[in-house]
Order: sequence, then structure tokens, then C-alpha cells
Amino acid sequence: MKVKILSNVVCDPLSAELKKIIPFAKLSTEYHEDLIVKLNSSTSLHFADSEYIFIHCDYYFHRVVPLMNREVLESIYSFASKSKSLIIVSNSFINGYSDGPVWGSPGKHLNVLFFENDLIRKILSLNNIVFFDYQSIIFEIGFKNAFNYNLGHLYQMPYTKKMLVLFAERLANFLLFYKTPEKKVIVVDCDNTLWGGVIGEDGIDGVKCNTNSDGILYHQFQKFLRIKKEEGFLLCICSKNNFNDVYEVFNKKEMPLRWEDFIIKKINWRDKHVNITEIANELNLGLESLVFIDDNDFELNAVMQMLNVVKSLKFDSDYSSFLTLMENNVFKRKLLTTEDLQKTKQYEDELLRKEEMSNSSSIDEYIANLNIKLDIRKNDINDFVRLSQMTEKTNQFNFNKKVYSVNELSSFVRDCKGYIYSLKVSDKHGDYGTVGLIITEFSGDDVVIENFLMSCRVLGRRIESSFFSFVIDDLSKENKRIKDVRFIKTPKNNPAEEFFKTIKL
Amino acid sequence: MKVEISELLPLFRNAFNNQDLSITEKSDRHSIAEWDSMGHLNLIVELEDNLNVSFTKDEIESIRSIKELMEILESK
Repeated sequence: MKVKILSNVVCDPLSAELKKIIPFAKLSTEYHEDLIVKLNSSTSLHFADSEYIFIHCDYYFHRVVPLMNREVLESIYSFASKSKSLIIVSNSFINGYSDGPVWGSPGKHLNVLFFENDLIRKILSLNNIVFFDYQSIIFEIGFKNAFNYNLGHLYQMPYTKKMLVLFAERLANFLLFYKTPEKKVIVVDCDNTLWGGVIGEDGIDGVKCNTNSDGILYHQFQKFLRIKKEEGFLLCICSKNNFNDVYEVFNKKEMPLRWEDFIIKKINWRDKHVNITEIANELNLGLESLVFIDDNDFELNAVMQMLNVVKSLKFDSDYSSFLTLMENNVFKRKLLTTEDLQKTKQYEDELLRKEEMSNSSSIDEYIANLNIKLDIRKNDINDFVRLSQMTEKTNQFNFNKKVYSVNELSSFVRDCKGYIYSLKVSDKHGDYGTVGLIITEFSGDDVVIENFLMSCRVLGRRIESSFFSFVIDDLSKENKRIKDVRFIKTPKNNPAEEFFKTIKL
Repeated sequence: MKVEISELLPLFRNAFNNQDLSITEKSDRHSIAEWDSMGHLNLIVELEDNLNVSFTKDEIESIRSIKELMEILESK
């Protein structure tokens, strides 16, 4: 992980603290008194090899801002649009005091951000720019504890040790979040997690999930999970209970979540790690995509011991631990795509298909009955966010696990290096969304298949060979011949290898 | 505040990122290679945090040896 820190304060001590938390990272810092001028005059080439560029203009320390916030934001926007790195912008410039005649007067100083909505939207539309919440660190420990003005004055390094440690911790978490694949499934316990109390002891009427003080925590947690579902997380239940008792609670009680919101319910008396493994298998997902939440330390420890790749988190009825739990990065999305927003629907469609398959006499009959439709597009920039996400998330049918950022895909097409084919699939049960990608690179009349990947949701329907044949036909119309296919074995890509072996050039 | 050399040693070692460093009352910015301006900055950060003191701008600039540091700390 290569990280460059660009700042108008000296960040070497920050970098040293970061190094303690993420020792594998290659960190470099640059100090520029007038960082914005530097950003305007520098070309993105200077930093082409950094995966991450952290831009930190500390206008809390430098009280007088030479430029209006609008100009600062414009500069960052134009820098990011030329850069191939992920640009992480500290929101420290937002409250800076400008020395303009109006802004500097008491009572006339306003948070300029409110007036820059159009600009903020424009910035957020770039896929390689994200904001780091520096302000919240200052709010948390306060100006007095955060700043050492004497050191700022003498060395342009205005932070106390306490601030450096916390700042580094938050920044490291943020970087790791962008480095780690997202979670996809939230598996929750019921008693003392989805509601207060235990069905077996308190009865169905005795458990609490309401807006009174004894039930509000659980009510809020259910609302939180409902939002996560809308963001594309799949919700599942894993509870040691009688199946009918849990069903009755959902049936009888007004709660934010309904029975149907959970795609898989494992309500029985078996060991939880067995149930959790089954959930992963039924969804055709790796265990590392799962988050497990329970209030019981025994259950948590057992799952952690048996399935250490599952992220196990404790549900604590102490309010401050509860808030900390919800802020955990495992519940956050890097970028939201249309596919994320339809995720539960897609998996429900898939369960319908599995049912139909088990009723069909042969796999061919089943496939024929699905009425599969393929929609293949070439160089369609609208698909690139999803395609980039696929290069990160897809493991099983992935020819070489090379990850492409949205910017890399865009510049690949812009520089006419080759064609990027994307595949959308639908059948009579519903829409799968964008599920396939083939990247081809030209060298004269020859073509190299740089990568081929398919989401595991559509495997086993012979779609991959139709998609591949289409691409070969399309290229041969331009008299282009496929010379090579780039395949690299990874621990997980057996399905891709099977297909690779069938390719005859 | 009276501070012993033995209390200062771990702070110097952290600030200069050198766990083998040794210091005496006679050590100064010339005798310790790591005690350059970035080292001095790190040292002040460590001292203020661990000894719960704060130095004025003049004090920060005037500390050039262990002896001077101990005198300033004693005046706090």
C-alpha cells in the first residue's frame, strides 16, 4: 500500500504514528506552504505510483485562508480528475477563515460549505475522491487537546501527541477500509440482539423492541439493519430457539424489520458455526463476506474459534458500545451501485431458481425454461463503477484477479488500448444486473484477453461460453485474432480454470 | 519539577526512534546524531505528552542540551 501525504502542515510525526499501525505501508510526506497552488501546478504524473494521496490542508491551524473555499474545492476537483490514485481529502479546510472583507468580520463568518452544494456534488461524482472526517477528531478531543500552537509556529507541526495518535488511528482505519473487500451478509442472533429479553423465559409478549427505554436500543438496531438491507447487505438470522417462537414474534409484534427481510433463517439448536457455514454455502459466498452479531460471549468465541474469517461482533446493551458497533467499518460501503441496491431481490430470485431447478428433470430443460437474455455492451462508461467493483469482489470465475479502478478502466478506453465488454443478464425471474466482464487489449491485429470474469450468481447456466463466443465473433468482424489469454491461478479461481482449459485459440 | 536522566531516557529513545540510544547530562544536540530539527520536534511532542508540561516558544528554541532541558523542567 503506497500512500502519499500532501499537506500545508508538517506531517512526518503523523506518518511515524501511522507506520506503527500499518507497518507494511509505504508512506511518504510532502509539505507545501501553499498546497493549493502546488496542486494546481503539479501534474498527476508526479504521484502516479501512489495508490492513495491524502490531501490535508489544515485551515484550523492556518486560520487565514488565502483562497475562498470554492477555489480550494475547485483545485482539488481538477487535481483528482487528472489523477489515477484514490484522493482522500481531509475536511479540515471547510471552516477556514478567509481574510476577505466580509468573511473576516465577527458575525459574518459562515460555513461556506453550505453554499457549495453544486460543487460538492460535482466532487462526489468523481469516483476517485473521498472525504476523510478530520473535523470529528477535533470535535472529539477539542482544540485545546489537539493543537500545540508553539510547535506549529516554530515547525509548522501543530499537533499534540494525543492528536497524532488519534489522527493516525483514524486515518489507518480509513485506508484499511478502502483496501479490504466489503462485507455482504449480516447474520444476527435474536434474543437480546434483535429484541430485549429471551423468548424462552419472557415469552413472546415479554420481549422488547419499542421506543421505550427498555426496547429502544433494539428498535434502533432493527432500523439500522433495515437501512443496511437497502444498501445491499443480505440479512440472515442465526438463533438458538424454536423456529415457530421466532416466527410468532415477527408475526405479532410491530417492529422495524419483518420476517421477509431475512433471506435465510437458521433457527434451531445446532452449533452456530454449522449454521453460519450453511448460510455461506446457500448464498454461494465465501465466509469472509459474513459479519456475525450476537450478545453472547460463548457463541461469539465459538464462532471466532471455528470460523476465524467471519467477522464476529458483540451486541452490547450498553448504549455507547452500541453506537460504536454501528459505526464499525464492516457496515460501510465504498461506493453504492444499482446492483447493491437490488441485492436482496437478486438473491430471492436466485432461491426461486434453485427451487425450479430441483423440479426440472434435466439441467438443460431448466436452463431452456429460464428464458435467459444477455445484453452485451462495449466500452460503456456507465458500467465502469460496477465493473471496477467486480474486479475486486469476484473470486471464483476470475482469470487473474487483477483489480482495476474506475479511472484505470476509463483511461484504458480513452487511450483506445482495447475493448471492454460488459454483460447484463436477465431471465424470467428477474434481473441479475451487470455480471460479466471481458477486457481485451490490442497489439496490432492481435488481441490479448486481459481478463475475463463472471459473478458467481450466474455460473452454471452456460452463459460464460455464450459471452466469450460473442466477443470472439465481434473481434473477428474487425479481423482481429485472439493471440493469448491471460490466466493466472489463484487459490479460489477453479471455475475460471475449468473454462480456461476449454478455450481453443 | 525535578526529572531524572533515567526518566528522560525512554522519551529520548522514542522521539529519536532508537532503542539503543544512551544519554548523559553532558549530551547535547551535537553529540546525538538524531537530534536534528525533526528530532527536536518529536522530542518536544514526547516530553509534553509524558511529563504533562508545556514549553513556551522561547523554551523550545533554547533547549540544546540535556542540562538545559533539566534546568527548564526544574523551573516548571
